[in-house]
Amino acid sequence: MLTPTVWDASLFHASPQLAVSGEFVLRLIIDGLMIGIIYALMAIGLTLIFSVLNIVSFAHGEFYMLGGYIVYFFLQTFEALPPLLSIVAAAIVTFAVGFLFERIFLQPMARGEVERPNEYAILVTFGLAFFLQFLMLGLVGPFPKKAHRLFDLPQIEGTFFRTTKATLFLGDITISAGRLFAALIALLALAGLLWFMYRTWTGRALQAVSQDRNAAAVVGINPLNMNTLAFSMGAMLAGLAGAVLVTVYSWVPWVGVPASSKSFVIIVLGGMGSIPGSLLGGLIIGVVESLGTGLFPDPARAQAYRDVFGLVIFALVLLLRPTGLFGRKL
Amino acid sequence: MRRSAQLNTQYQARYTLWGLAALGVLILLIFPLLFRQQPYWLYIASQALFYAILASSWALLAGYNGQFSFAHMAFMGLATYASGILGRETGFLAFDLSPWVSIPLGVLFTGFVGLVIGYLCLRLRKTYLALFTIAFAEITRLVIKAEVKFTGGPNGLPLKPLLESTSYVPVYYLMVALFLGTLLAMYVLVRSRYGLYFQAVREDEDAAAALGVNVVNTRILAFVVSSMIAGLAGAVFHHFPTVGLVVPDEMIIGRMSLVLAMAIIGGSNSLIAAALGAIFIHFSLEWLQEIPLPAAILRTLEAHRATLESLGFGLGENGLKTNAWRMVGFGMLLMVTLRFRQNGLIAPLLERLSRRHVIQEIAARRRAREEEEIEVSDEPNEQVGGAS
Amino acid sequence: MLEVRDLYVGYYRDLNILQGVNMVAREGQLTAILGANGVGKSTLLKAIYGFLKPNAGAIYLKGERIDGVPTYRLIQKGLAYIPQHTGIFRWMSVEENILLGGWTFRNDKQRLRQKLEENYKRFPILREKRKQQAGELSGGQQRMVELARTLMTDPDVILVDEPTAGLAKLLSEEVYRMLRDLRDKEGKTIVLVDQEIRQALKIADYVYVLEVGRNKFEGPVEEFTDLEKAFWAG
Repeated sequence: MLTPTVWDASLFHASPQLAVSGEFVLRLIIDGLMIGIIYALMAIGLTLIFSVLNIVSFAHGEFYMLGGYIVYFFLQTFEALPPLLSIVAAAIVTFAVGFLFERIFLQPMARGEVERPNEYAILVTFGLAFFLQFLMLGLVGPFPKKAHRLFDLPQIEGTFFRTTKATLFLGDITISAGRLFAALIALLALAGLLWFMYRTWTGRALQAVSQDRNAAAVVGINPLNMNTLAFSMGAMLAGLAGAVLVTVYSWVPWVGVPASSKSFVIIVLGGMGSIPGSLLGGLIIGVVESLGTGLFPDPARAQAYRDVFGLVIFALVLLLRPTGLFGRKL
Repeated sequence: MRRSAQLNTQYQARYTLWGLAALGVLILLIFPLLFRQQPYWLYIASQALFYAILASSWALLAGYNGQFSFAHMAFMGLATYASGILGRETGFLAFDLSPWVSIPLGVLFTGFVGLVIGYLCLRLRKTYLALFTIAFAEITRLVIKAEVKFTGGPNGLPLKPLLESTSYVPVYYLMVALFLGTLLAMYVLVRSRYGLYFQAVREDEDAAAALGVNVVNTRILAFVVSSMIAGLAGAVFHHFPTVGLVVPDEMIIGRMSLVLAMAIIGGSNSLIAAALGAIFIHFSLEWLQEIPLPAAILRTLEAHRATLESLGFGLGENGLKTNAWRMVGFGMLLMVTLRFRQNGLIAPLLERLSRRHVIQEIAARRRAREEEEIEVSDEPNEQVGGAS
Repeated sequence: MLEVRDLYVGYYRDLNILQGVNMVAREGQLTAILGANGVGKSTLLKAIYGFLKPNAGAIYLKGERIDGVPTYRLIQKGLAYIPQHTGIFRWMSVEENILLGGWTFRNDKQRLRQKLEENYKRFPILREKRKQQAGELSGGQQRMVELARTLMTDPDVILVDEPTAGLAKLLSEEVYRMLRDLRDKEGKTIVLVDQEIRQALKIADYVYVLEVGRNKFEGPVEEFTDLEKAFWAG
């Protein structure tokens, strides 16, 4: 049967324990914010899918997983090429996979050719997750992989601000270069996305379809094309999140499961379909997780409970306030 | 006369179904005789029945009632852990109970948790319910994994043997009894008026409520019954001397998706089709683990061993090991089934088998017409026919 | 201009809400479609605009058959639609809303600017509120945004579904005035579905009355002065 696998070995690792001090808490918050941006990027992808196609993709974490593996193998295979290209490659491949899946499996639903579309959407995206997980298990095996960081930091010597190749020091606070670059690339991607959504015609068309599908068709926007675009872009954003995090965490084919549940938490928190809401939600989850793990009294269990914090918030929000904390469309 | 013929063929259809069912039960019963020398296959068969119970009880919840719960394996695990903890000799809440007592208690506990979760989920529909149950399943699994002192953590919790014998035969028969018992119970349930309520709620909750169906009770009933059955299957199966251990990784979402795939590929609108889907998939997965190949082909493949292994395949003594690729195939099959055969692959087959009477029906109609013409009245269904 | 021939439409295959409806909208005229609640007036417009697929019959626009053409292509053929419930993009600004009306010629910056300017002249209040979120406007102003968005493409035929439902009396008179201006000043062909029979008769040129999925009467508006009471009864 299925071999029980190292499900948790891949999870986001907790910071080593220190005594609780101001610097420690500050460091946890900075860590949380940096990871939170990446969570937010991924969750915005899910938001885009939800608000345009009106479905939740249960395969979102698997695009994240795919993005990470592509970067890993790209770095292994093309050592001579600039490492940033690996991230571009991850974006292109996840976009393409999302595109094909949407066209083959989701488009018939939008055209009304499938009975019980709600149930179908849940199950078929779940089926995709199942398929992609085992596909990668077949291709790369169950052993954790980790890409090394894309760049070294420039050497700077200072009293307050100094760096080594792998670490940035701000007084007593240390920031790892891997996380820093991951967060910076995610920020860049996020800025690009916001520009695209709010400043281009196609972005406005996506917003239009999410706000009123029929009215969008009336002005001449083809909603089916927007569906495909939204799904592929959503997949690509998850792929990007994975692409930057594969340098921070180790990667197994199941790495997408906790990551996608984090995206679920964030979009529910952010009001199911709001980009600013998801952004804020991502930062909140990043910080809560970081603080929760860092300050949990029993360090042995802290890491195991890392994912529980977000899930508990999630369950509570779903039960108490299913419209989320900030309801608004795209 | 014509109506009598139709009734006649309906009875025949029912006989065909019962005949098939009897054949199925017979196969289940004589299976150990065929595989007496191969206890491994007996173990696989018991495991297949375990999955069959899980898949059919999931079909009861999702297929009949439309509640897409991803917490089914979590409920299975909860009952197993509850029973295991109550049966322990030392530790918190350890009462050293016999499995015959601790299993029912574990199932009751699961029923209670199912009641609470089902109640909490009442307001959530489809996608939100799926999201919530995934969260619940993950929280349950992670907590069990983290609370090492209480649950044994990632290494699992040892369970007392339910039967003294270490032979696989009694274990297998117990599983057959459990399978047939739960299937029958669920069949009776869906045939009762509650079955109609289940489906009414699935089709349109508001309309069902308007027609006087108690939506709250119906949804909770479906949730509690299906989680208790999942719990029962889990607790009994893990208490077998041949298993004897439960680990939190059995509750992973990946395992849940396998159960889901079994039910969907079988046909989640039919309990028996879901169960057959589980049995079929479980056996195929076992068989696909190492596909037997002739020696000549194996020798050719041997030359490419490195390539095969880098692609995640392997070479065994007698065949090709497919490892994860068999699951890739099933993932694809799941998606294709959903897209093109929403009723599953086995359910329509069963339907067609039970309609084998179509030829007989035509013959009966012809006969009925002829009889009408010559007005002979020694047909057994004459009374009904005469009324028409 | 727009012709509907023997149209059968329903949400299910065997249950037709429209059972053989015929209608012709002539160029430059305002054609009103009247009838009691539930006779299928809105369904007719939805079917013309491709939201519902006819089970039988045909629809012609300028002689070209358009049933089966997907909704998003119709605007390019010069047919526009204003649905009953305002279909504005609530979370975008007024200007973004109006500009999206020009989606089909989005690369022609000059034309976009010119059409936008025309719209601001037509509805000066929208210029004042152009940065505001469209969802925050009043009902009447939302209608204006919708109308402005529709007029971006200069459609030849406009289908309007109960434009004043839920509006205050003063506002609805304003809306009817706008519709009349569109016909008189810009020569648009308009098909108006309405419950407000008196108001509709005031501005219509030609009238159709539907009754449970079929045509009941039709004729130039002059013939309908006496029949008005009959509607109230039926």
